[in-house]
Amino acid sequence: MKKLVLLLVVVMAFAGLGWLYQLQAGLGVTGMNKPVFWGLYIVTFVFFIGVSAGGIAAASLSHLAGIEKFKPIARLAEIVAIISLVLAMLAIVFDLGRPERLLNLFIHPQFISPLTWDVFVLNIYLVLCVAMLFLGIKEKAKQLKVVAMLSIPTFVLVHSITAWIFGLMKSQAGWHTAILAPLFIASALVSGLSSIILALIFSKRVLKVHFDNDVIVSLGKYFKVLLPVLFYFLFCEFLTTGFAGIPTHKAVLTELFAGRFAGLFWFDICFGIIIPYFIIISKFGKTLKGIAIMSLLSFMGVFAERIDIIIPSFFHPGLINLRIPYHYNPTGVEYLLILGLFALGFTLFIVATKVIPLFEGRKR
Amino acid sequence: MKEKHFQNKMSRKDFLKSGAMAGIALASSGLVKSAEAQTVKTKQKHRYAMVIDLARCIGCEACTIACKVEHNVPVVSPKELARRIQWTEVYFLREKGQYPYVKTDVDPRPCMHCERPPCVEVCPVGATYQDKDRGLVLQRYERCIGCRYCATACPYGARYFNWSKPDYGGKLREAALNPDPHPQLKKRYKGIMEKCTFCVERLDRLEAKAEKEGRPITDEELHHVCTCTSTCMGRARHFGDLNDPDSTVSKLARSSRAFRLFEELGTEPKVIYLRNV
Repeated sequence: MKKLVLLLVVVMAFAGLGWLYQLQAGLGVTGMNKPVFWGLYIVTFVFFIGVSAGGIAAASLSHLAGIEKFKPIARLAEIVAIISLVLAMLAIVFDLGRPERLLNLFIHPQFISPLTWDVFVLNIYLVLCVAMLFLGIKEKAKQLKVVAMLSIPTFVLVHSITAWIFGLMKSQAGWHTAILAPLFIASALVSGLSSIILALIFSKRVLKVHFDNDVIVSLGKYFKVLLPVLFYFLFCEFLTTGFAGIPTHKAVLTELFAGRFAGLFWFDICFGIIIPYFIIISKFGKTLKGIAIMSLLSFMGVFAERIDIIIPSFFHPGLINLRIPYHYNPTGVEYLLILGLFALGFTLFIVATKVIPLFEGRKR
Repeated sequence: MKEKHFQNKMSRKDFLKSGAMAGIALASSGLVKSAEAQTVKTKQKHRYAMVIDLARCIGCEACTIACKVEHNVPVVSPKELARRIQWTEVYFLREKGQYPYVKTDVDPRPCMHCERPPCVEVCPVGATYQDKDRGLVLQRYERCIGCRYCATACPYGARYFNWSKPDYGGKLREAALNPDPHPQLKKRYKGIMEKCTFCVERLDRLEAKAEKEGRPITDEELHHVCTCTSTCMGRARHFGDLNDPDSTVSKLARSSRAFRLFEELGTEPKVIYLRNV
């Protein structure tokens, strides 16, 4: 345990240095360039927003649907959501060319821009999550129910608007599709629930918190629906673009199926969706180990999927200059900062379990 | 009974008729819309536009260089070509033919100064804005947060980001920078966007001069506003006001060779190309 914390602190320290370096030298230290204007930072931002979905889903299942089984884990789910929202905001700060002007988003907001919608709805979402956690600890059931009810439409909005940042861009062949918002909600739920399962297993095994395996097994059951739905949405998108064969759209599709992103793409399909699905419907999927492997795989699968949706589109703009090579090679700084974000999230989670009474009915 | 039936029939006929009329009206309005580039719009005082004759362009890139010198645009090393900043850039689109009879399709591409600019729509802080009187799309350097959303939204790739501290090419070039105090020419710094302005500093100067002398701006004067048009040795580029039906650009825009890039996206670009036939 102590070794783990030490490792996390070291990673965070290096990431902090990396960020200072990036602030000083500019975004030139990353691998981003002219056609590939957004890289891994934005992917991480979208991914962490997705992870926050699981928290709200599990918490609302307990507060609104009245599923008693999930009551003990509601607070843990909420803290995972809060942490991942904070990480998502940090990721977008990493991506800004001039982070010191961040307040311009509130001083001169342009309400026609999807990015502005996202900024506002993210803050509302964060406030609602914190309120849910606070009311849960104070055990105010009535107010909790109201906040939980408000959080459901906000949840749908957050993930849809994050999708619309991309989906409303008619200039990007790979993004401009109506299914992006439902797809983002489905993959958000997959990554969110799997992160909660991983957090639960971590608390049970490492932090020695006692609760029934039954909770984890029944959370795992939701994947029997979510993974096929995710696959179906992806299939709809690929069939539509493949059948229509619009040159730029088809080029992005080819990039995924057999081009530069084929490895990631097939990893997502095989290890992110198909294998987890067969694990969860088999007997192995009822054991803790099986669910842990399934969650980890689908967690990584969704990250790969986010990369596959966001980055390949940049390689096929309408105008391509033959004279200039198109490439995107993420640099060490990018990897370091993202690793630092994950480490920060992990540390915040460990601190939260020590400071906040996360597990209901457990005396400290 | 019979009469009623008859009446019904008539009304249906009428209905169909009116539907057809509506259809024709819709279709014709669509036609009108696609010809919008060529018609006079009175909402704006001026609609400055550029016409680029692809049959006359030889791809010498003199426009790119002239623009870089005029607007104090930073330079990059050849290794960092993918991070270049060129407000106007000659795109080499495809090679045709077999050696030794090879031809390259070129596309000199400044900012299109769209009438419905996607970059303005997506900017979360309003750092990019459309000049209402003249229809120019400009950038406020001091407000940009560097999120690069405009760059992903622009279908033409006309937006350029300062990835690192801009390199002005050493002391020698820095001494020769354009001293014009216009805000669009201010020295840029890392982390902000910049783009083609249709040489707004020269346009401002010309407008002030014409107002002082109490006369309208002539077409020939406008031609020399943009650095790229006045430097183009094949006279492939023309600059002028689309709201003036007798200007060179208006006349050229009515040509049967005229087209605009990605017209189907509905951005209504104000750079009109003449096809190379």
